[in-house]
Amino acid sequence: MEKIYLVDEDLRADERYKTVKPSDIILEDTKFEVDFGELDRWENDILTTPSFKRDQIDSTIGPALYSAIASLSADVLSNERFWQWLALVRYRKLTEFRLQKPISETPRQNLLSGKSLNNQNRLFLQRIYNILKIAYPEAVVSDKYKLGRQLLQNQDAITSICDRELGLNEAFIRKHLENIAGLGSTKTQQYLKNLNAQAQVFLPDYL
Amino acid sequence: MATIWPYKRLECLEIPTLTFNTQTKVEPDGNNKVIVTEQDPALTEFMLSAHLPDSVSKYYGSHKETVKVDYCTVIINKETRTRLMQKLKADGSVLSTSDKIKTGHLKGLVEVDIFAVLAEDAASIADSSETPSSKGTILATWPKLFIHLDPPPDRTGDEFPTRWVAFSENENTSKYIKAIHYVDTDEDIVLINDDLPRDLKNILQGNEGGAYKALRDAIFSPVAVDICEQLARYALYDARESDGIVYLGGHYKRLIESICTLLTGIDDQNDALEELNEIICDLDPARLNKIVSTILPLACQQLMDVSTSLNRHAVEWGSDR
Repeated sequence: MEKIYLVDEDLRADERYKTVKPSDIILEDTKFEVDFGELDRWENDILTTPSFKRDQIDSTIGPALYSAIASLSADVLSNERFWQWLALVRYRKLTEFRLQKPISETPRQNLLSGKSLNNQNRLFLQRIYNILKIAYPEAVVSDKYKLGRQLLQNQDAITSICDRELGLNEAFIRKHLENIAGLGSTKTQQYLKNLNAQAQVFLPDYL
Repeated sequence: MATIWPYKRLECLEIPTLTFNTQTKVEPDGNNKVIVTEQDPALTEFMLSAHLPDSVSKYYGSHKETVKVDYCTVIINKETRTRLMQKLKADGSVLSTSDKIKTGHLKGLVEVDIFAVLAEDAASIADSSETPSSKGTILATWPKLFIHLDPPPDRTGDEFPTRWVAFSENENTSKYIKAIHYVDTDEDIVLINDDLPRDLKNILQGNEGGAYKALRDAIFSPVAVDICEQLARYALYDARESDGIVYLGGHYKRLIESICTLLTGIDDQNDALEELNEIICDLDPARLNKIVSTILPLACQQLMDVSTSLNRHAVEWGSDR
């Protein structure tokens, strides 16, 4: 078990995130602890296998990440500074590997998260959590993450669902995840557009 | 752009009421926004009530006894990715929450909507083309309420500092001494011309209230629209250079997010952003040019609500004479 931290400084100011060393980032202890053992093992595999593609990385680490953090409080999980710590300190090497470019050349929304639905979905670790939270409420996993891995390999599905307000209606969107998981890029977006149009006429809770 | 619904959908105009627990201090804006100024987040809770007009309660006319309508509030907090739905009770012409709603772990801006919804399929009224018969159809809406649990962020325009500068002495404006304002996108600042004629400058720089204030605000209203248009135009072209809206920063991104529905005519913000992004990233110069040259000026006037604002100044000016 290890401690969970929040970044305790504004890394946006003067684009500090681009230059600050991870060891110099000021942190705040949340008093929560989790087991990152499995995620560490997958990280090690990925870092030693250069051929891993982005969607493969996501579907490989997704279950281990979600299992490790799902029990954290909503307050921590909705705090952008938790995700900053995860990306810029704890899993910095993995983040750089996944980005395939240095932190200093990465747009801040891809690293610092944010308050809008869009910005909560640009940081890949948070994006993985967001989609798995919809697929597996209360972290109950009955299919050994089969659906979750499929979704994580369809990046358009994640952004199309989690960027939209519709994605907050988890019970409704969950009914459509299996259909969406197997669709290609254009069809995913079209499917979501149709659901969104439906949600303008109907209250999704009744569908 | 207003949506034309394929059935009769009512829009209630009376703003619902929020009532907080006594320990929570709030500042209502007299309209649809409330700022929480003092609270213990563990205790903060509110009740919601709204007027239920006859037009909604009698939506199904002679069928109203047999058709069940639900009244629901939907609470959305994007910062914590939270959405809650609760049914409201209808008592005569009043809708209200049965239980107090705790804000709990919610943060930042909370959005509160009320909907009247057809609760069950109603085949018996399927003959009417105007009245829907499918379960879940939204029959009526109320004005959305906004609760700021933390002080709201500065408005977009506030991030652009304004400075009075003699245009005759400024490198970028020295040939335009009769202009009023200049948006310096390199420095992210709006310059106001200090060389303006004295009487006009006196009004613009004055602190007087009443008719003077109305005139001052009326002069600045179209200036604000113009500034908005320049910033949005800059943001759209910058997005094209950067391969997408997603790479825009701060106020430019927020401005495009708030104006995208007006620019594309698509009601849903995410769909509108996607569409706009496609126009920008597909390098479709004809469509982008059309948006920038013809729609953008209209969209900025709409966004800034310039006619309402000018009318308010006109009323103030008239009442002060």
